[in-house]
Amino acid sequence: MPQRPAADRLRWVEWLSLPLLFALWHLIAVVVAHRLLPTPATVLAELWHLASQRSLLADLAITLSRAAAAFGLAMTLGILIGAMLGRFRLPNLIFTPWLIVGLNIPAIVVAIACYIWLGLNDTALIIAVTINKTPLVAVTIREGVRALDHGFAELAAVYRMPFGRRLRLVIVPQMMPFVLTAARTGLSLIWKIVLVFEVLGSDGGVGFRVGIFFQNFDVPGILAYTISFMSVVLALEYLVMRPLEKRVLGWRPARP
Amino acid sequence: MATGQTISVEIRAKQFDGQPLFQGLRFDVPPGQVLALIGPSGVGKSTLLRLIAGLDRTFDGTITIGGLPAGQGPVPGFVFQDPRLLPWASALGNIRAVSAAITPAQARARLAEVGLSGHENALPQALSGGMQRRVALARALAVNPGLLLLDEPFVSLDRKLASELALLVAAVAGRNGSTVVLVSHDPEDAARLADRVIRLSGRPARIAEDRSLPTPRATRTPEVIRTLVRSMTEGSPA
Repeated sequence: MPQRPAADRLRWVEWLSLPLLFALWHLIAVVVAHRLLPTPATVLAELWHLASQRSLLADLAITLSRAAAAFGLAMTLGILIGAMLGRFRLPNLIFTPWLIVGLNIPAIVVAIACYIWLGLNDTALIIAVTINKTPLVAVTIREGVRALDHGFAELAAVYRMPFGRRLRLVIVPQMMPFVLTAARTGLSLIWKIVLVFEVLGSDGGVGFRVGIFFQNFDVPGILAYTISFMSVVLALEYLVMRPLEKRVLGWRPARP
Repeated sequence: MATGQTISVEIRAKQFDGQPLFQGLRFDVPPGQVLALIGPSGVGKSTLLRLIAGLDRTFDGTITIGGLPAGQGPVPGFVFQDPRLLPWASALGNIRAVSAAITPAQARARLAEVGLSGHENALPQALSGGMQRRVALARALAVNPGLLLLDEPFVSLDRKLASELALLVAAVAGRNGSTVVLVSHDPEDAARLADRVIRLSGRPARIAEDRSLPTPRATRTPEVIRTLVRSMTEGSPA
């Protein structure tokens, strides 16, 4: 494996990043000294209080399950559609305008339409999020398919590699940077959309609870839920995405 | 154990970028023969090799390998002009990638033959250009091909290593009875390795010269090779 001495030497800087953010927040809160901008300590105390009541964990579980379902659906559909559009010219010509519409239609419109047509339920929410996210995955995957190296396709052809072997050893490794990009942007987008849609029409979840806090101007509550949610996102990033990236993209030359 | 395959080439017309590249090109290669295709850059040597491999079927004519249309017979060994190694796979992985039938032991043996023992787990980016070429050659030999197609396999290698690898190719081809088609711009490659040389020239390309090299490969001394190279470059009989 290639060595990355420079990157490894500077790795500790990244660990200072979040404490720095908290320090900055604390400093501003102390200077402003207003009840609508609590200090990190106040918010962490509120977080502990909410967690001990279990409502926070229940809301987190609801939101995460919705996000996971929408993410899985959007990635599956997006990969299939993107692969087809990247590979075949005619479907690409037919469906490109659809993709443009899908990419630009306001998320809130899709959510409202789904809620009206399907009712205020989880199915409508998950479908709305999936509709919002799928075009972005499809576009990324389409570019990946278009970028597949023709030389490697020739190599596979001349050695008559069966489709499964070709897919596993030649195509998927080339596609992984695109799949991971789609996954990462997908996760960040889906978190946000799910929360907005939960505010709009839901009976539980982080977004629903933040909506209630908003009505009461309960900023510590809003920030406590935000921190808890961001902790999950960061855990996913550092415990899932990065190890996965290292595993499947470790062959790429080190960047300075 | 593979056996050499007969190649039969009859190209009535082949265009490239809208211009005629080949017209009325016809030759046969008997099993076990090492044929060198030489000629100036751009004459169509690599394209001809791709046609023989079945990678390009846009031509008027027929090419058969062992009686079957090109690309439909047994899997050939192919060394591309660039090493074309999968950058995410180790040297060993690159060899094993092309066929499920290649065992790790066989892949290691092929790497050892090209002088790369100890580099089994190295990624292509950690290997020099010459080493990558050797992995590509090991990959081509690993399928025990009855037909070995080599597109400038020794370019960018130093003379000594090129000579050693040419001997290796000759030995493996001899052992398997493989038919070999070698494309090279360097007459020395042909003089070292080939039983027969076809020189292409013109546009559309035609066979300017088709001759068997008189001396058996195994007994070609450096002096004989120099004489053969001279005869090829000057067009005089060896």
